[in-house]
Amino acid sequence: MLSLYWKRFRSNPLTLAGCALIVVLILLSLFSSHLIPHDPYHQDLLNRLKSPSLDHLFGTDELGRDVFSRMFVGIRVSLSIGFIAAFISILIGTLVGLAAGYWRGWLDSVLMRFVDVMLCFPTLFLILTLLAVLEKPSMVMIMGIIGLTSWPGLARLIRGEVLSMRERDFMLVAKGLGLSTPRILFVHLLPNVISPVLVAATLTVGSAILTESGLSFLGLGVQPPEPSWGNILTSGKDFIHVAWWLSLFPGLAILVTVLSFNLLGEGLRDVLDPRIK
Amino acid sequence: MLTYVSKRLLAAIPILLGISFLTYMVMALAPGGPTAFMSDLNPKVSPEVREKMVKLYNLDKPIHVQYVKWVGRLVRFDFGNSFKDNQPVIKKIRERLPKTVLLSGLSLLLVFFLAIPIGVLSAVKHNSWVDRILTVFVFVGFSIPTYWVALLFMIVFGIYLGWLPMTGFRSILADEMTWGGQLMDVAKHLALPLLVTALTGLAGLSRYMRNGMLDVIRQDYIRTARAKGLPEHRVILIHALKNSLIPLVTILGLSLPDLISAGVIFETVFSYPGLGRLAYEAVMARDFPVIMATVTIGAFLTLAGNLIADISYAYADPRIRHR
Repeated sequence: MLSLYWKRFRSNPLTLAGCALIVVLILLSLFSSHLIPHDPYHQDLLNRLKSPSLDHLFGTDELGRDVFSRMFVGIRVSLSIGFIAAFISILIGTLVGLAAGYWRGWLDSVLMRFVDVMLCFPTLFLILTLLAVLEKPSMVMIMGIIGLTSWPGLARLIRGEVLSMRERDFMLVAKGLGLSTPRILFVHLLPNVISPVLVAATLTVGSAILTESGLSFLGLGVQPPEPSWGNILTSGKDFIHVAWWLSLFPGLAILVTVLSFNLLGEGLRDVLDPRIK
Repeated sequence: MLTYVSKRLLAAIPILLGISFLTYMVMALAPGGPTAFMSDLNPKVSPEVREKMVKLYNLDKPIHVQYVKWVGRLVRFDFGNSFKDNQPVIKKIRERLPKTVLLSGLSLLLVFFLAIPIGVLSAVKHNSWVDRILTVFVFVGFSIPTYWVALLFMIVFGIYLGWLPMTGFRSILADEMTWGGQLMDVAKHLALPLLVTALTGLAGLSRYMRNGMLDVIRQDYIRTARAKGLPEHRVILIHALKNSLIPLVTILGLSLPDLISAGVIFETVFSYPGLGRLAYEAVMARDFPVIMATVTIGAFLTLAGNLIADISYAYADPRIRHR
């Protein structure tokens, strides 16, 4: 079974490329302190807004900091926010979906109406409102808020899957054997709905990175001097007339990273569920 | 049909209540609210603002009274006055909302015009190079930050080529122009935001159109149409297209929250005076009445969009309304 999956996985060059890029990004972020050519926080006011050169591959920003090094550190910021926000979102979405689909009844109605309501809110408006209520946003808060606002779609999906599993014979047997509810839920039910969870997890990492960069771009996400791709783009906007490199490179990094996750996610979908094409 | 419509409308009522409840919760948690344990430590919220909040949202009354009063105001679209300039919030919304609707409406129209032929072409030439290029385009479209495209377009078309104005809705001197000149002026200002939103929106919709078309052309009645000797262009453009357009109606309603969300960022980039930028400005100024109003109206709009999509779907496809 696994070798069949691997064969299908291998046969798609785009999926492989996405996967490889993610591995490279993770490695780069782990070893970033050894690999960066300059101190990303060091200000050099004599060399402000210098265009790309051999010394400063991606130029310097308005405080003379090396953009290449700052973007390098930004990999870790983006990936950690992406992974943790996606983890929170998947955890809540899966639990809510399992509970609603398994117990049905009033619990299902309440949870699904709540999902309906959540899906009515334009996500970014909801995030902005929460950010306004809270104090100065920290990284942990950003992860939490993105995670807390992005689970409803998955919950609805998982619920649907569980509903269709419920009536299968193996569920009857599991219940007939008198297995405990947690055992039925997590040992017998969860593995059968794991494919959409895995696909959603991968795609959510990508969208969380996009959301974070957007928030940081607006000045509501990662706060300077901590570098993130989004807040470098803010400088790009502020100095748009003189420094194109501040706009070009961070955006390209976001595009490539999010694209990798989306390619991997779609690839996983093809591998795990060949019905959908 | 009438039963279906009334059923959908009735089902919307609990969701409306849910929206009001969720916004109320957020508001009650806001600094100044009874549960805001952090507010004493929060230097951004002055005692003055807190007092205003308590008065505006009746935060000193029992919880059920607070909520009922909040719903009572929502029904009348009374969001109080802005903390910043003391203007009625609803007046600000009335200024901004039409501009967002104008831009999103035009952008949706443009996207539909482009997505339908692209989707059809890519479905008919399934797995050809056209289809492959489209697939790549779709993936890039899903992964690209809209505001980054906006920045690049501003650099190319605004700075290097100097063809189009980069920001705003009208020129400063627009009042002195002729009627036609003013129209032209607005059109020029709309060009870049429109191009950016349409390009990024195109990805999803053309993919949707392609998949819908693929589903339809595999059905029996299409084989029948071919078998009775109809020319291929008639089969595709008349028999298949009509049915593959139906699901597209749904996507219109579903894309509304994303469209409004995206507005927050690209309206800010383009300094376009729409609802999204209003929300952003309000958050930066901690102007709570305006924040509450934009988030609530955003949710109402989405709900309305979903309802319209559902109802028109049922209108176009009898199988839905008779279920």
